[in-house]
Amino acid sequence: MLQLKTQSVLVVDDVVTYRKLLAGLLKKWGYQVFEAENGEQALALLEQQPINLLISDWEMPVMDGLALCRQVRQLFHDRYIYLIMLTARESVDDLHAGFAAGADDFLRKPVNQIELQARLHAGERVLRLESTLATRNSHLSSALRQLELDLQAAAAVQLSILPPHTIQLESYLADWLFIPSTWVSGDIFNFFPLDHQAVGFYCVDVAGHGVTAAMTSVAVARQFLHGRTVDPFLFDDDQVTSPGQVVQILNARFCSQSHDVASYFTMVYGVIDIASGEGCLCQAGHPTPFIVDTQGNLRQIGNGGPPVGLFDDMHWEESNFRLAPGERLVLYSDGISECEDPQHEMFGQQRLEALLSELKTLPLAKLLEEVQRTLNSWRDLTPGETAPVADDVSLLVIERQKNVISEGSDEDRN
Amino acid sequence: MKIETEQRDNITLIKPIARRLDASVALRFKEEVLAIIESGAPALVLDFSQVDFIDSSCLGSLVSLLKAANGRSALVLCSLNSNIKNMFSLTRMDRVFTLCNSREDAFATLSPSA
Repeated sequence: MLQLKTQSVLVVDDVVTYRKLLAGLLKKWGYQVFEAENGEQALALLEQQPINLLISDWEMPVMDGLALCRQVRQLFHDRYIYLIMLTARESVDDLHAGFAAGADDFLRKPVNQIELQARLHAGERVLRLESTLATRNSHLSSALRQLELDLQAAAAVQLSILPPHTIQLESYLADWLFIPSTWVSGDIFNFFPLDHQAVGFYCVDVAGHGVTAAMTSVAVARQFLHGRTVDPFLFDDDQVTSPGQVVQILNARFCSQSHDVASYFTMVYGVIDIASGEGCLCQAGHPTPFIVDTQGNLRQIGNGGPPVGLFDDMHWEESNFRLAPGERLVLYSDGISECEDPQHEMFGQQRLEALLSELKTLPLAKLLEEVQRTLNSWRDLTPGETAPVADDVSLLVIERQKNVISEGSDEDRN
Repeated sequence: MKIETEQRDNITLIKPIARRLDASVALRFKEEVLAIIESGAPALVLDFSQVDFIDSSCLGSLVSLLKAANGRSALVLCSLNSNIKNMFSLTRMDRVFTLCNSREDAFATLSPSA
């Protein structure tokens, strides 16, 4: 609603008698009336007073009605001013010029009282709508701003859950690339010590993206954190629980009993024996991990498997591997392989594999920068340009270092 | 996304017309097909001949539909491109869903004499 209880009207006319006549009528009808002799005076008054209705003569000295209309439309953006032009002109061209200048309505001179009242009522109706819209817009803007602030905060929380960029555990070095599709992401991953003999790693991609997926991804990360401490399901007596068993446990915890699949995820969980490099992983719907050797040769680890949280009676296979010194284990989410170029061609697993093979000698941090640069140019972004990816991107690379000799025996040095 | 439907005897053919079935359409896709299941359709064929890509959100929708159809309606998927087939095989969903190469195969699978 308009803030003023009494509607204010500005009457602009250089002919004093005519202006006084109109002003008198309007006052009688209960309007608060302001008067101006020409366009310039009118603009000055509009600056000072919260006037929303304006009745202006067409021909005036100094600044005529058309110029006044144009000025009003140019200068006043914070409130709508309803413009009625008084005119003796009747040609279509004149009306057209008036509308083009920003007039809302026209009244023929001499003014008929009933017609004037009707035009004023129409104007007030438009102003009421305008004011309702403006209020609603400002509510929406502030709600949106609040949501953006919340998401910004959520994104910061999520980044804080991710591991530090360079993780050194014994002779193993891990680094990662993470590009959320919105503020927050459904991808999460970690590389962590299990006990003195073994390290563990996981990559999770919750279906969908945005807040719902991000909340689930945090819940999964929490499972892995608690799985080492308060609820040690990552250990079975003194042994490390096998990856297939861990995925089975998570499936039981995340599978909904309802028909409707609320939230599910793909993942890879694996463990590596620190001393020997012998490892085992379980692939659950996630893209197939691969190992790059020191010559740039590739071998895939895994044959697929169902995602977690869809069905309660699924079975998962495990894949054994051995990471020799100098070799890298690469885990990634489908946000990379399904990343589209402007012609909708997907980046694909083969390009990623070829890239990591080619960059086998590049240090991890540089390698990840290069992957990001390649993805950006695949998406046709110019250097420095950012644009949201269609799906969350995460890439975790674990390297068994050549030169670091861990405690215990290591006969693998090439 | 537009969804075309066609009735052939007892079988309802449902063909989503969209290059990508992803998070932006997954919910609507699920609700429209769910309405057909809930209306009591005994057999449904989902024809993906017009679809290039199915993302994980949409796979979730398909599993919801399969669970909703369970015991009430038969649900068959047909005409999946090689990318989508690979995704179904990677996620083992090829063992959960009935997949057919063409709509004719799907009709044959669903017809009582088969």
